[in-house]
Amino acid sequence: MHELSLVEAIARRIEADVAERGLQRVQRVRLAVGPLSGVLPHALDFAWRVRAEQPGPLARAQLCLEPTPVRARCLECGAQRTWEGGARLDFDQARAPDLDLDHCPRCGGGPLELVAGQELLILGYEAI
Amino acid sequence: MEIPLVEPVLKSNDRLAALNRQRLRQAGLFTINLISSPGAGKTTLLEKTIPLLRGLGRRSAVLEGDLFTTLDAERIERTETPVVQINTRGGCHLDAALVGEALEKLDLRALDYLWIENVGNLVCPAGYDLGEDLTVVVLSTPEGDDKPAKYTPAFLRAEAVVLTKLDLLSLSGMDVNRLRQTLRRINPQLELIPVCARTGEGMDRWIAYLEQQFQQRTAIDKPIPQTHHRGA
Ligand SMILES: Nc1nc2c(ncn2[C@@H]2O[C@H](COP(=O)(O)OP(=O)(O)OP(=O)(O)O)[C@@H](O)[C@H]2O)c(=O)[nH]1
Ligand SMILES: [Mg+2]
Ligand SMILES: [Zn+2]
Repeated sequence: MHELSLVEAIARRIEADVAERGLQRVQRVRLAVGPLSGVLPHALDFAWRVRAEQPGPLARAQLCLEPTPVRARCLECGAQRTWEGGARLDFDQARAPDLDLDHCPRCGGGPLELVAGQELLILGYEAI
Repeated sequence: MEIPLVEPVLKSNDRLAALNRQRLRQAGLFTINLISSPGAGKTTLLEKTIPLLRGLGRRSAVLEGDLFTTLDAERIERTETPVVQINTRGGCHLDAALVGEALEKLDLRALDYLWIENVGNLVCPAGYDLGEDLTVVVLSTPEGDDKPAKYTPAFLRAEAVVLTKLDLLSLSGMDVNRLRQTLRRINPQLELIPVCARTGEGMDRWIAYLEQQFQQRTAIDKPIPQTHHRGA
């Protein structure tokens, strides 16, 4: 359950930025969550809702999670391969049953290097 | 009003980890972050590894991440190794700030290897850089060969997997070849090192791997310190 400490880190960062800009209230926070970030979206959601019950600029603010695909690049031929979310790559379980960084479907060589899918990024927020 | 603010959630942890790394490298230390599910055998592996390294003249210290107790730290102390207990008070992982504080309690210059035993948990520690040179997942045979597919981030982060409790292999149903294949798909560069801490099987290969990594990674390649009983 490190989602609690992640939410706290996000909340503090946004609160600091809000104070710096002299804003009042945050409506929405946008977050990019890669399927290989190790974060469980449900747990993050839940932790956020608990945090957003506290008074302050983040009170009742929404957290919007934007799933990102997993992407890898062949170190031999440079071809990119993408695994979209959904059934083949179980986003909620942070599982990757399909991931194969050992074989390049284009050149048959490899290995491939992950270029996306592990990120956990604040993207921005909406405030008044 | 839409405010763009693009930055990693763990940016402040990453920054502190970079400071730890710089400090540890400057002191000539080689640092290993041990990750596993609870009870895989991290402490037992350390109890066996540290004396073997000592035989080669390498001095170790251990940072013990634990939820509440000092049990593991006491086990390490019995091997006459400096140990710093880090209680996370229920926190499910170590972070770079906790490790940075713990470093204050060690004489870094008197050490070669720094071991960090993370909190037993195969999920949460994976996202937190501590400033280590090497991340090692300890996986025990009874856990099954599907763990890399289920807990992928830890295996993505790691440079090596130590497969422990080899003595239980025949009872466990673990298929080592299937494990090897899964690991190759997820992290082709990963080293798989099967050992049995109980019988000592495979420990020679583990030590050889560590020494090779140690020599590759420590910026200034320190000569092995001479102990008196070794003679000149
Ligand atoms: N059969 C067998 N048992 C082992 C081996 N290594 C460790 N064990 C046992 O496994 C249990 C857990 O080992 P620990 O070393 O405490 O595991 P740990 O990963 O440090 O556990 P936590 O710190 O609580 O997460 C103990 O009862 C050990 O004696 C081994 O190679 N073979
Ligand atoms: Mg332990
Ligand atoms: Zn290719």
